[in-house]
Amino acid sequence: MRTISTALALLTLLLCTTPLRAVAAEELTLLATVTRVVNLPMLVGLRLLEREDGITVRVKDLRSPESVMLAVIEGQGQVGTGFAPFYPAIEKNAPVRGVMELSRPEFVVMAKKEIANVKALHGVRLASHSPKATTQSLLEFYLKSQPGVRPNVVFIPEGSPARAEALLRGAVDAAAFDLTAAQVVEERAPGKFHILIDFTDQPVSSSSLVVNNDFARTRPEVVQKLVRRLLQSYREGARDPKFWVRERGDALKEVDDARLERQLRALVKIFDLNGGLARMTGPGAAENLAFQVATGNLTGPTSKWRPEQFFDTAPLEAVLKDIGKR
Amino acid sequence: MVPALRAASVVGFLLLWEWAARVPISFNFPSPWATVTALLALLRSGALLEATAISLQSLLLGFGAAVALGVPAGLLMGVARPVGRVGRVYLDLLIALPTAALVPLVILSFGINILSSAVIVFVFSAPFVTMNAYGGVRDVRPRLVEMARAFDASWWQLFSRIVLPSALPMILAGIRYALSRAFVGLIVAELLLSPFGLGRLIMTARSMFEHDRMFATVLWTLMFAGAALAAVARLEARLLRWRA
Repeated sequence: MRTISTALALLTLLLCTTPLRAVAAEELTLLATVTRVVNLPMLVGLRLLEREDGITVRVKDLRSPESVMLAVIEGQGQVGTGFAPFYPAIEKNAPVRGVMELSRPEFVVMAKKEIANVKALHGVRLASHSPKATTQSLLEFYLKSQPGVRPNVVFIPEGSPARAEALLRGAVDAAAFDLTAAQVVEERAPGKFHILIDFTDQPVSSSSLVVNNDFARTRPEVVQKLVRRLLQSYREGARDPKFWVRERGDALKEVDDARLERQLRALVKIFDLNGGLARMTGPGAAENLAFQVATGNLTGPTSKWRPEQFFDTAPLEAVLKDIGKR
Repeated sequence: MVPALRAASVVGFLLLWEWAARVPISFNFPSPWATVTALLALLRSGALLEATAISLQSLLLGFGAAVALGVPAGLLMGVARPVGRVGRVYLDLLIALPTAALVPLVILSFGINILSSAVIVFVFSAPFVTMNAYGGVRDVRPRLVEMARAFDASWWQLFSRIVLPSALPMILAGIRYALSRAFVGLIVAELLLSPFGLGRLIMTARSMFEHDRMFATVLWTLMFAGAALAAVARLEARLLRWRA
């Protein structure tokens, strides 16, 4: 009788705990700002994570980058995409860390053909996202090196497509938006506008994969798997962007394959095949943080900030040790 | 009794807020003291007054147009019944309209400037001004109208001596309600359309996780709206003194 009771108790315990543990181990919520072409390599990486590692990923779109940061801080999702608000959040002691760079800046400033050079931007209407957004930070940082050039910046926080539309309709003379929007403008009005400033070669991170500290501490193996699959996606897609188009699942299904491939091919250069390690450690990180101080996302002086306050490179370094650096 | 209850409710609210900040209920949730300190700092720097002056332009333009066009439109709808029957449908639709969703269209139609914010303020507030003016005319007591007619009153006398004074309480109540809607429209426009004025201050503080400054700006907006509503209520009391 005692043996039966013990067996029943053990069975009950097993039934109660196993599914819960399995669910917890196999679910991940990633919070992102509205899905764009630039997010596609990340989304493909998440699909790889589901397929290869059996981890179900739920992607939830929020409206603004600061909402994403708040939700990751509050644990409403374990991971999220961290744009400019990631840095001031860390300054306010947010319990999150960046574990990998998702992309370098994908933004450009496109202007009417008549605005032939940067000096001609002075006084013209230039559309940007919003105060303290990554686009605006890059713009302010760039304009510091152009004394006397003061465009009349107007904010359109509706996203790159809205700013592209404003430029096409003549509501503004120039606009800062992503490379995808620049391609759309060129397709719709060939020869009328040109790229005046290209931010894609700036040695700074535009977005990072941000992880809640509690989750990183308790589930380091999941974070490592996530980083590995994202890097796998980046590397395979960089070799042939058709990979991202083929593996995208339901994401951006409304975009024609050939067009999407063209857009992704233009974006390849902003995805670091080593996960942005160079900008999370050493002199690269110092430069990255100096940029955040210069744009006002962090208070100065730069010397008070250490990369490890922002980044936890352990998962990325472990993955790179395994798959090799490029 | 009432003053004591009022004071108790304020103290209770402040204690609840302080508790929420100490827990804290969300990341970097500011205490009442931190909010007031940030409010004073914003006032001292001049940033808040400058932003208020900018927001005031959109508010006066949009809400002024809502009153100037909405009241006559409502009166016309009430006086000319066929116009009222047709216009009522559009009013109902305008009241139910998800205005925030129209923001991108407003940018493209009116440009990125104060005028766009004023248009949003107008769309948020005008239907309520019109609806109340229309309702006010519809609620005029038929006996009064019959009596005026029995005394051979002209159309103008009937309108100015009977219809307008009878509809005035509802018109003024509509204006007061529309003013609170105008403030909502103003902040929606400044957050979603193009950050100007108070909306820009809120957005910048939110991006930098300076929640004390964000709460301070919201608190200031509430105080500003409260003062404006109190001024309209005072005007309403003065204009309707004859009823007492």
